[in-house]
Amino acid sequence: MKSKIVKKISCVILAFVCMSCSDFIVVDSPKTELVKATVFENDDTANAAVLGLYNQMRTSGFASGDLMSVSFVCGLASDELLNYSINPSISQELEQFNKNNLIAANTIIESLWNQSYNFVYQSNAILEGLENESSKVSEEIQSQLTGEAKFIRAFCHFYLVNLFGDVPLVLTTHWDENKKIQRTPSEIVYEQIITDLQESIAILGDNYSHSNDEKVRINKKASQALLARVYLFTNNWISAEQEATHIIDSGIYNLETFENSFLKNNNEAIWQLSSDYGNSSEAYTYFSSGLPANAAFTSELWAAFEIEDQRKTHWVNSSTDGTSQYYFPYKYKAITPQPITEYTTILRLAELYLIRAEARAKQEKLTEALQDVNAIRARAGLIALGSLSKDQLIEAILQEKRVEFFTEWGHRWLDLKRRNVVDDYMQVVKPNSWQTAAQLFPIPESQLTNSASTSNSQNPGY
Amino acid sequence: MKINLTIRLFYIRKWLLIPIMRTFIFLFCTSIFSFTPNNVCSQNVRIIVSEDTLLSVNEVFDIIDRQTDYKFLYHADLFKNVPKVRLKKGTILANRLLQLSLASGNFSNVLTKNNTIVIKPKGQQVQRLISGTVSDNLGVPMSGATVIIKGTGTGTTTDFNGNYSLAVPDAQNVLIFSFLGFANQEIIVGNKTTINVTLKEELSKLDEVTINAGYYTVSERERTGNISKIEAHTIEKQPVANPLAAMQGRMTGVQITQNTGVAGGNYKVLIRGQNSLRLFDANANHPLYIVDGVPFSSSSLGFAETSGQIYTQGISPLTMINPNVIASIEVLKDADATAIYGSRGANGVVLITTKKGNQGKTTFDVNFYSSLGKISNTMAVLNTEQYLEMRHEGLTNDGSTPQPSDYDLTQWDQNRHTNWQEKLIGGTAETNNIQMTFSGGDATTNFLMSGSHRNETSVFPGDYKDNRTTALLKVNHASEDKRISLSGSAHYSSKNTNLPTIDLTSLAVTLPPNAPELYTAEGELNWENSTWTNPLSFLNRGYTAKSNTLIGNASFNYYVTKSFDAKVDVGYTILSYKAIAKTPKSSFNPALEQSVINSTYFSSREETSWVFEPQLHWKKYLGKGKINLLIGASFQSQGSTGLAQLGRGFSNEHLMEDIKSASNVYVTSNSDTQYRYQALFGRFNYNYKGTYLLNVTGRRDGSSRFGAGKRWANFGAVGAAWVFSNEKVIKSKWHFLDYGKLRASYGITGNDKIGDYGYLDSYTSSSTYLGVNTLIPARLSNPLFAWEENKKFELGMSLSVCKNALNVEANYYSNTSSNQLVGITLPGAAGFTSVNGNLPATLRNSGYELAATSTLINKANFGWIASLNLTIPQSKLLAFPNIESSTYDYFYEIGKPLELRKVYTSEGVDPSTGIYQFKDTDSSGTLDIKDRKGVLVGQDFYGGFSNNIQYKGFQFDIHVQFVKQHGNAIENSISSVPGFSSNQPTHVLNRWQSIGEDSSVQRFTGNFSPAAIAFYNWMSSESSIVDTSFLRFKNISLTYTFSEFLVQDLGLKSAKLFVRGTNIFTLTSYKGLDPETSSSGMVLPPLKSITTGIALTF
Repeated sequence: MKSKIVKKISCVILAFVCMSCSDFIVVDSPKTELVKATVFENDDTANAAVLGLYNQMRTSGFASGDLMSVSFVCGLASDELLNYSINPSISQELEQFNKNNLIAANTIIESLWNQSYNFVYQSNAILEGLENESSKVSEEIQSQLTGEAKFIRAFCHFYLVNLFGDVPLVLTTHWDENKKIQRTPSEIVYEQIITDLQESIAILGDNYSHSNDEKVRINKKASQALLARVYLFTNNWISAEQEATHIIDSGIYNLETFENSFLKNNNEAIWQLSSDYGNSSEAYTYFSSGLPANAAFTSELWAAFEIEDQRKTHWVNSSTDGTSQYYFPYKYKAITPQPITEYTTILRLAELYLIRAEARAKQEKLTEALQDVNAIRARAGLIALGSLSKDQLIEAILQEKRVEFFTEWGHRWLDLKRRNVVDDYMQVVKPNSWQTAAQLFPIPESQLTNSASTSNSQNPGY
Repeated sequence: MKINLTIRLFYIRKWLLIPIMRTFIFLFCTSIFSFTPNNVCSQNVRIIVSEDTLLSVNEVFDIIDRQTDYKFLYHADLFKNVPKVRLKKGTILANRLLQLSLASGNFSNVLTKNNTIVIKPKGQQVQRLISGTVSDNLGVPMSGATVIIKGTGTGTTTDFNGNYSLAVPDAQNVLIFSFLGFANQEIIVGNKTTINVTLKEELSKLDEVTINAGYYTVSERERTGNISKIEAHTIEKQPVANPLAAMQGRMTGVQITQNTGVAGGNYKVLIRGQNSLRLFDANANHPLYIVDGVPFSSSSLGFAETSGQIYTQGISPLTMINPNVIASIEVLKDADATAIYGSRGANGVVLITTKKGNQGKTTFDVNFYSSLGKISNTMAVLNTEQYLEMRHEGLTNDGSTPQPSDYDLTQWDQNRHTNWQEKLIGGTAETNNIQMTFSGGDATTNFLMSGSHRNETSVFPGDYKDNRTTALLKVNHASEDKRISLSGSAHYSSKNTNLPTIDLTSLAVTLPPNAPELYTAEGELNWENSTWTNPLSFLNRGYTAKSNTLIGNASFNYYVTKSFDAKVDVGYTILSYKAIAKTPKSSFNPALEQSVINSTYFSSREETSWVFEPQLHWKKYLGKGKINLLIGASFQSQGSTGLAQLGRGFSNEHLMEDIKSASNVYVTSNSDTQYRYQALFGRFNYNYKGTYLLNVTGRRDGSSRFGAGKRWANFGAVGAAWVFSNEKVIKSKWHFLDYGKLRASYGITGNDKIGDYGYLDSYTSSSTYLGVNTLIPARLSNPLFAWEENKKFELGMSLSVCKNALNVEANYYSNTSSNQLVGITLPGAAGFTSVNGNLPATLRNSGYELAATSTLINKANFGWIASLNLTIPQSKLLAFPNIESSTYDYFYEIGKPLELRKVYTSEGVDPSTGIYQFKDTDSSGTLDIKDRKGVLVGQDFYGGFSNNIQYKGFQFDIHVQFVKQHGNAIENSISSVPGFSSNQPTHVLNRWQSIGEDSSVQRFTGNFSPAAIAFYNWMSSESSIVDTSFLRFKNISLTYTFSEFLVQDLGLKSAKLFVRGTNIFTLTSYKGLDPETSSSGMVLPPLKSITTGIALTF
């Protein structure tokens, strides 16, 4: 009897031990996920990873045109918009942009920063995935995707460096290294932006066949357009003119009528972000029927339009509360989500004319520069400018850009800073609150607190 | 008579004992008397004689002894005068040799068990051999039990199998059976030859209390670990919906904080402090919950998309468990108690056991109560006059004037006044709860069936309900011989909620008092020309949630022998949660009508898990000790799926709960995760005389949450206790001492509470772009992270004095956790804000716990029991290499407690500028992180004080909870600069107004001026840390039990009437709504309620 029990016990113990060695605790990768190496084993999934990046960009914040986007907050920070937001969770944070009195803990600042670097991470992950030996992506697709990822990496770094000054230049996905990365001098960041764009231009094609002939993915021309802008920002006038000319002369793009210039896939657009969900957020962001919904023009912006300017009638709308008149951007008009008629436009041809005008003016090619400005003025129904001195012309280009690109992608804010006239203009609009140091946003507090290598390097004034 | 004892050693075969214990050798003793005749040896046992020889009888017996298994027992002088025996070379039957040897004398011989031959002279008094087995009430044989013939001092002890045999001279003799810790039994021999005895345990009060330790039970007297317990009679007296609420302030070392007063809201539960540095993961420090042996989810129910704004801290999964069906809740705290749960015991274990049926007549219980609740406190905020003064003064201070966007000054009525707290959170919440229970059974089978329904409304304006229906079915069966026992239970719970989508408390406090009317004259929502967001518009956004939970378990136990049983536990749980959050067009300003569409979030989550746990249990009485051995395995699998969808473009608001009526449907999140878990565990318990106790537990665990090579780890603990009151010296000297015990334990437990698949570098689907489903990186991966380790040490003492009038337990604990498993927060530049990994940090949670219960009065008609518990926790970050270069530098300091906030040093208000000043500690000219110092914000001590007074039919209970702590000031919850368009507490009126003025509050400001920045810095300064201690009359209960005579006629067994008050009164210096929920921001405070009810038993 006893030995039987003993045998039974030992059998059970043995069974336990055997079971312990089994693979019971090894689980398959979840059904909702694809292991990274697998993603880059075939064209379709690699392509989906790049589309994921575009899709994330347009969802909210940074590139979406909503209250937390570059376009909106730069409008508030510059001399374009006044904050009227009554959204309790966000209005005080927006007010900080409007009063140029940001605190490092502002969550919009944090989200702009984190989102941009998340896109940089995704771009790096795509580049690493495609370069990996196990990648089985076809050569043609690999070039296409590499070009796109390099562009987006450059694009994000461009906005980071313009909004925050020196920023960490991130070129890998290794979090252990990236968490230690220091703020890189702007010149080096710009060098990398140029390198990325040049490499992207070298391998991308000119058409939009890879995006069903919609202008919602990067092609060679989009890269050239951004490169033209980057050259302008780095005072490389010759190259800026060259790159702009590539696009203007390509014959692919034409200046559109005002009614069409933000419609999806219009002739002027070089790069837009599409949405399968609904129209882009811009129209909704500004829409108002009484008091302004979130923001309205500063009186200075309203006054900046010449009387005949067609843009004033086509791109500006107004509302009234009975006593005052409020003006707000009306470039995007589709406030209902459906049907989808408009895409968020990031790069469009008009900018290239103004880039080239400025680059040419800087090179003393005043007549040619004047032609470029007048091309934009002509569409606005304005009379052509006559001959001007170089400085006057450059001033006129800035003015033209102000009324052409208001509340678009922080053009105004970036231009004022780039040309070192930000103090002059801002002191007029915000005499009480403007400080020179406010031209750089603060590095978000979470970046400083979570990274020893940047903890001591807040921008001055914060 | 002299007794010659033969001692034999019993070697249990090695290969059996290895897994049990190597070094234990069992001894047992026998002594035998005999009288019966020849042929004692087996028929064919032969003895070999090597040569012809002449031997004494003694020598002959030596030969037999050497060559056979037989032993001899006789008086040393017995064969002194007996002639020698001549032997011839060859073989001889042993029996024959025996006869030859004894032929000359008048001897009798008898073979006893154990092959001992007893020889004695014939003619002596005829003795009788009594044999039998001594066992305990479960039938487990007791070795080492003493059997003595009363009045003689002659006797024996039982052998390994509990057997004894004893020669008894007289039928009149009485045998006394005894074993330490068991009641003695006396039996008259009479004409019996077999006497089997079952000893009953001698129960003191402490022994009657059985503690559930998870895989085993232990008596209060003999437990070596630290386990706190509350029972049904305490839980039942609290009209709460969540078992956690019933535990608040009642157990040492268990810190439970209510996050919100919204029905179903979550609790923060810390057992002996925060072991993990995980900053933002609420689950990381949750204990392990086990309901009737089945692990129960600790992660919040709900979905950010649908319940995120009303339940900012999640929904408590335990709200699905009906507190009134709980028989007991045990909390395992130290290493000795938790190590058997291995990797998941680091944060403590909460064992919830539901009630089971009673034996005897079938009873039917009905319990009904109804309560009315209101918010426990309102805040004094500015009235319209004061508010407008603040606004104008703020703008004037900034040198500015009201702008068109300052609606409160330019658009709104300057004379209106509304008490928004009364309007938005001032309602009365009604609760009705009914429960019916059938219970009954006989000696072999018992059952319990219980059903309950609870319905709770809210304090928000509108018709909101939180309903819960539960059912419990429990059946226990044991075969007549108790060899086989089965039990099964199913607890089902269903909950429906239709609360508004947001908690209106924050708006109730901060809305300007002159904000517009809620409704227009026509009865429509008033939008006052789009100058505000009407708070009632949120109420038009319906949130409905349905949760269902089923916890089922079955247990099968089989006694292979009386001391050895095998058990299998199987459990299954399913939790499902479905919610709908609607955003209809009508909840928006009609001015925006064109731009908004009807949209609805649909979310669902389902968590299923099963557990399979085979166990073997062996119990043995040995000598004066008792051994308990347990070995078991655990297999667990948990699957979780979640789906959130957004439907947009419903043509009609009535169709908004129908997903197919949406013109577009988007999947916003979808998850499907698997968690597997496996363990092998064991326990060895040795109990020597009930005085020295040793408990060794161990576990080997594997978890799927780790990457290859990091999955397995070992955990274990040793606990020991010394019941010094059993020592004779102490017994004789300290008569007042009924019971005294010293305990100590040390061991290692672990923690794998971190998200699944953290080691996997992968992509997950996102929504479509260009009509193509896109992929985005799922996370930052790290294949190298592994188990977190928690080393626990504890010293404890329990005392019971003056006939149990005072019971005291005091403990010291010190838990050190290292290899911190965390989502390491990363700077944004890394692309993600966190990654799973192990931190090199070591931290220590230590503390003192004291629990005392005193029976002040104990008379038939009058009883008074008072109890107190107190915990003084301390935490310290012991080591953190390179903290200064880590992301944690901002939150922690080496050598300082964990409950730290790094804040600026306040230097008051500058009398000349009226702005808060802060110390530039490092004289860098700017105020930055380097200027901050760590200030403690945690709990200094906490506990509870209870009184239970019973006088005749009246039972009065009062429970006071107290917490001494520091937390955030009310300003941090409001988070708006005084002077901005948001209401403020009245104390802001003490602000600075003119140059040279000394003031505690800085000047008002209406813009983002330097004063506004200073205010934000103030919220990160030491001034923002205030005393949030409180003393709360948590529960007061008065119950009247009708006398039996009165109710008998009505066919009742008992009837009770009760009145209960919850959160009736709170003493605090905190200026906000509620000190307990202050850490959650501006949320609904716990409600104050009055309950009346009746309980009948038929």
